[in-house]
Amino acid sequence: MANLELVPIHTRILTDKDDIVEAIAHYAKDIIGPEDIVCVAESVVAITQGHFTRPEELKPTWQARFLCRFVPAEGSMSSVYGMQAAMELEGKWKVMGAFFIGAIAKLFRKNGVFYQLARQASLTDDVTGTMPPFDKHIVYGPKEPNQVAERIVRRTGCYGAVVADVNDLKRSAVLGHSRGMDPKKIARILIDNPFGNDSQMTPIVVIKNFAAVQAK
Amino acid sequence: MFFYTLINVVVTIVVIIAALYLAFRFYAWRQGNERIVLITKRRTPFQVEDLTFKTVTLVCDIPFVNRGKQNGTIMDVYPRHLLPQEQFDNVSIVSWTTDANRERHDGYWESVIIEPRKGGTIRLRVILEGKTGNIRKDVVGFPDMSIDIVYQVVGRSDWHISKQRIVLTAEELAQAMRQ
Repeated sequence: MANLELVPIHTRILTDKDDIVEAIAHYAKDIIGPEDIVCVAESVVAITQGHFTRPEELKPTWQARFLCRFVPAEGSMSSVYGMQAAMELEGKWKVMGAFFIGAIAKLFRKNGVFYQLARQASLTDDVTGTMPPFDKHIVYGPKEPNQVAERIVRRTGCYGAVVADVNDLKRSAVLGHSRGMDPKKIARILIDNPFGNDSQMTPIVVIKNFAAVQAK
Repeated sequence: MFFYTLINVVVTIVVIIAALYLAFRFYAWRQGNERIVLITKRRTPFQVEDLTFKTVTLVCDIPFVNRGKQNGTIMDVYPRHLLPQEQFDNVSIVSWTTDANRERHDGYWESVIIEPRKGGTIRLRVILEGKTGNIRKDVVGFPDMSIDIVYQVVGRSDWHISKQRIVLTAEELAQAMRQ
């Protein structure tokens, strides 16, 4: 009787010279079956898309200098460059508006509104957020994660694919998925962070036998 | 009448903006920034880590601390040894740094966040290679050599590069070679 099994796949460091779909096919072709789900870490998808920048390439605006002062130190947006990076993609006025709406929402005990409205603010990883050599970069969220997931399914013949944002703090979210996937269910399966930490270099996780277990 | 009303409105807006700006500057001043400094006075003496017929590897630990009120990210640290050939030409020198808490051997500094009032240790390695092939003879007459430790830091404000200097003295090298 088949059981769910999470298989992390070790890779070399993937860069913007790589295609994430081809990398998955290369490193996991012998493991992926037609009943499996392929999960890939969002930061690695973004890196292979060249979706990152460096603090040295950014010119902080007064809006970024202003807003970053009100973000707790733990967040990527607490750095003036993290905030500026999010503004580069979302637009500085949109981020500023989202921030003020989020601040008002907090008065009514509703948290997380800023990050819901300014999506890049929640997806952007500041310096140190990823492993060398990208530890000196600000990595954005991935572009078109649903399409990436669909391409993975077409290329590998797997049951489904997701682009996931998971960390060791028991936070798990699916940012993009192929048709027919239940993102909340997959996020729950990934909650213990099978991707491990960056230095383990396992940005791909295969959920074995998902279709068979689901059919039971 | 309209003119005076307009003036009043403009002045009021300017005063409000100025007050908000000053309030923010005060808030930012109270909040502070990172301030990462190397405590060069508390560095360890250079010690010989490896000695071959041709080369000597010296190692020295330099503590650092974040004296600011905010997190600081050390993005890069690298040494710059300063020994012009006009001054001494018997050795070629390679130097590199690593985080002593997460030691690496590739000369790459992995970015690290330093919380306020916390710190760490930079491990500096200096490799001297004798040009004649006998390092003990080649370091005779070695002068005091300045080494700038250059580091790039980013926090709530703009990234910046700072440097602090240590000196590998002739006496220190001689003493390390004797041990």
